[in-house]
Amino acid sequence: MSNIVLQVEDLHTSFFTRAGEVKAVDGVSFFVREGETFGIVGESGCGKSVTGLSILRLLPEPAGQVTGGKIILEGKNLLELSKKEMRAYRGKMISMILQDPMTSLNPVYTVGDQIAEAVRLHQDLPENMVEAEVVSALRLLRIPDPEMRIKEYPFQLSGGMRQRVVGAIAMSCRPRLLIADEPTTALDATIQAQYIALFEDIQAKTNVAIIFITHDFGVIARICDRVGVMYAGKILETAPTRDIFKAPKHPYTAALINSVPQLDKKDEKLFSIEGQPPSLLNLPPGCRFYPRCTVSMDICKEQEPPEVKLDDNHSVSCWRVK
Amino acid sequence: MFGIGKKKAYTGLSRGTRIVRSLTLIIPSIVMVIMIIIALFANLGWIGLPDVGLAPHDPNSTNPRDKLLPPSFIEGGKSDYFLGTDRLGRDIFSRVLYGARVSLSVSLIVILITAVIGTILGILSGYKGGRTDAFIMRVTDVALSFPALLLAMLLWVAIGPGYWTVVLALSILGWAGYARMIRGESLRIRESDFVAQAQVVGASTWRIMFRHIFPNIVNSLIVIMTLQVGMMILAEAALSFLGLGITAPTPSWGSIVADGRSQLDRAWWISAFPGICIGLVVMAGNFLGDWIRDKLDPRLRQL
Amino acid sequence: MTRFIIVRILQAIVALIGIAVIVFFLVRVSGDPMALIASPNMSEEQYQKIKESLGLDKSWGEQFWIYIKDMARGDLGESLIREKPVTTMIGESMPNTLKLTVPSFVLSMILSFFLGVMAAIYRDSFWDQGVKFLAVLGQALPVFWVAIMAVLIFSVYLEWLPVAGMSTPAHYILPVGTMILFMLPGMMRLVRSSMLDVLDSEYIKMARIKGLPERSVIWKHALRNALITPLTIIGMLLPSLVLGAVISEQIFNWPGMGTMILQATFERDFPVVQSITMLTAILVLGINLLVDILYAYIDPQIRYQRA
Repeated sequence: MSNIVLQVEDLHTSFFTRAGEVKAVDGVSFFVREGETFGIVGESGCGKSVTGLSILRLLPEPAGQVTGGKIILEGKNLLELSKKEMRAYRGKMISMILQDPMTSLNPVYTVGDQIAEAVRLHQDLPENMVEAEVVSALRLLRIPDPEMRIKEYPFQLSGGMRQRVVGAIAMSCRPRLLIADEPTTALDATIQAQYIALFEDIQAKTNVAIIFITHDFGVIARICDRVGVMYAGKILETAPTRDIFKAPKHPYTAALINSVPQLDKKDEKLFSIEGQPPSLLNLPPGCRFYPRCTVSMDICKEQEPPEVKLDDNHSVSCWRVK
Repeated sequence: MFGIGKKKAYTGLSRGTRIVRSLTLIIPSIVMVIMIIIALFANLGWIGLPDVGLAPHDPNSTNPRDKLLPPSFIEGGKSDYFLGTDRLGRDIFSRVLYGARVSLSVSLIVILITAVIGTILGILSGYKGGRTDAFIMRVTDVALSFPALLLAMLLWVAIGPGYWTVVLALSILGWAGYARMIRGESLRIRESDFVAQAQVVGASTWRIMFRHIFPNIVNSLIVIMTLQVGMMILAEAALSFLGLGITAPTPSWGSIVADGRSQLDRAWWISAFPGICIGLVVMAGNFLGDWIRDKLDPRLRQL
Repeated sequence: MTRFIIVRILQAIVALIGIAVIVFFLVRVSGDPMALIASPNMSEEQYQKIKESLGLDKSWGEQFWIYIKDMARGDLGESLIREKPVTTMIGESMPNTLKLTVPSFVLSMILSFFLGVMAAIYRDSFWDQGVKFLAVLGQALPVFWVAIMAVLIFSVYLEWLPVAGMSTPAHYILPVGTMILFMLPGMMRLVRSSMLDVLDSEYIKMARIKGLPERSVIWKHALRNALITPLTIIGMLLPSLVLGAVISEQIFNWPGMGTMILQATFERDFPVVQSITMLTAILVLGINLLVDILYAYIDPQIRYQRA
């Protein structure tokens, strides 16, 4: 088995707002190995994007703060690094792709400039080799005519193309970990599949560890090796992708998978989970999923279930699972 | 604790903050109401009661024996003259009260005129687009960059001084700000589905503009109008200060400040008080405008 | 890009002619200019002579044409009161105005950009609160009043600064300060909010994700985008500049163009007022043109779309 690149232990992140403390991430733990894709799936607002930003320590200050836990990247706890040290890690060791390709690129600089900037920052190349490196980064993301593209401005490219450029920037310095925050959500369905295939390709070539944040189970099925199901700031179940689909242990996971419309089940009504996620300002004492759970027990209302390790790869937090 | 730096972070609204918050609505509103009352009741001559009013003296009556008296609360002042007198012996307090009338009425009239013109042009420009839009925007650009002061001077030479000259000077260019903002809003609303629906059904351009687009820009319009109160008051004051505004015998805050210039070393109160009034009213108007904007249309934060 | 420039120049010329027509007829519409010049004991002959020399006996159309021709040649007519060519009067007063206006404008821009950016970067800090406070006060208090109060405090009571005159640098402090107050609050606020918007954008997040040093993020990435809006507003600063110049010159007895036009107005010296208005119109249109071109240069999107 390959090495663990990232280990997140009991991460807590809160936003301090005028209305009070919003516990966006409330005790999240997982790990990702070299060459592996770990998916974080959940409804909007469950804290998955915040988790990604916390790893990079790019929360909007002063409201957003990591309040506890450890984030260990190849042996070093990122939360203990100084700002300067952390900055050195960004781009070179960890990189991120954001959701909206239309606003991720600076409108006043060319595509080439923006990639070159990353290259110059993290790689020690003589100036005349920078352009070649930029072109090869574009090639890695299968962008056609890269030599032409580098002179173009973002507004001249389509959404799908821009997202590839963002990918090129992210991968240009061969980071050890790539966090992809819903990169396909804003793309056309037809482009999504291509984009995801790109990831597989890149991973095969560079052995990068990927955290793929999404709300789309189809994407999970396609690209993720292991999955963490997140809800209201906590990870409720972690398992290899196949197990999540075939034998979900947490009622929420099962409900989520049921909500995905399937072509071969024609007679059934579309299923959706009733209710809303809880307010992160006033969390109830028991299990967070309790109000919407159809198979809950009394104890679920009073106490939060502990994490149970079913085996090396599968863990759940549910009173129904011992 | 990781990451918590030296910068403060909120942990819920303190009682203090909430009180301050509501004060930003209450105080400006009170100031505005007071100003309106002063403007109306400085003297009830306009409803046929010339001897009744808040102003203790006739603003233009000269009392050479009582000239250059300091305010009554300072040594040397007389209780008759609350804010002192100028070199002609006129009561500053009464003059300031009457001045409120001028400032507020000019502002209101100009705001009404410019709002109407600006809104029509803005909606027309934003909705129709194309050549109409380009043309109106070019004119707007010029109107926005042309100094109203010069226009005021030109009008002064052409048609002479007076109340309506000032109104004209401020109105001819004043609609441009509205036009630009409202055009922006109209552009946005034009893309809405209900507009598309109206077009499909065959509604005429004017009907769409007034029945569909206008109601959606009303919020922005109200915000802009409130914020313009302050600007118009300042504009009128500046014109009056230079002598291009409202002329004698009607006192205007700007002209009272100008009067006080020559007596600055002897009678600072002549210039000081009208200016403070201007500042208070404008600040009240701005705070109110900000509050209304936050309530109605936070998107307009650019203003 | 060149096509863009040419189209805009033509539009400006058309606008200029439009303004010339309006200005010209505005002055004549109100009454016979001769009424301003004639004195009661003038003989019929003298009256006619003056009328002819001023060209007022010709039809309006002819007068307008002569007016345009003269202006194109640089002849702006003669002052009715001083009997000097307007161009000479401008020549005499312009340098003084420039001495005041140029430093004020430059300082205002530098200060407002600097303060606005600092306020945005250090949001909610002491800087920011200070800037916001200054902006609120600056936009509420009438500048002419602040100037007079400043004179009261610094010249009358403290006697630190002189009131009138232009000889020493100390003489410049109050007038320049006054002028800056006209332009600073508005611009500062705009720069601040523009910068705040930019700092919140996704591409700035990306810049940080890349690992760029904060100074690069701000000065290279954020600033260029943040300045786009304020730059387009520079054209709209002219009214404040003019107002500031006239008021400052009035208060501090500065013998510049401001005092000149103001006096000309009160003396009903319409050749002067008319000419200055036209010159200002040219300036306004010129500045708008320049700003449009600058904008097209900075924001590549506009450049490509218009070309």
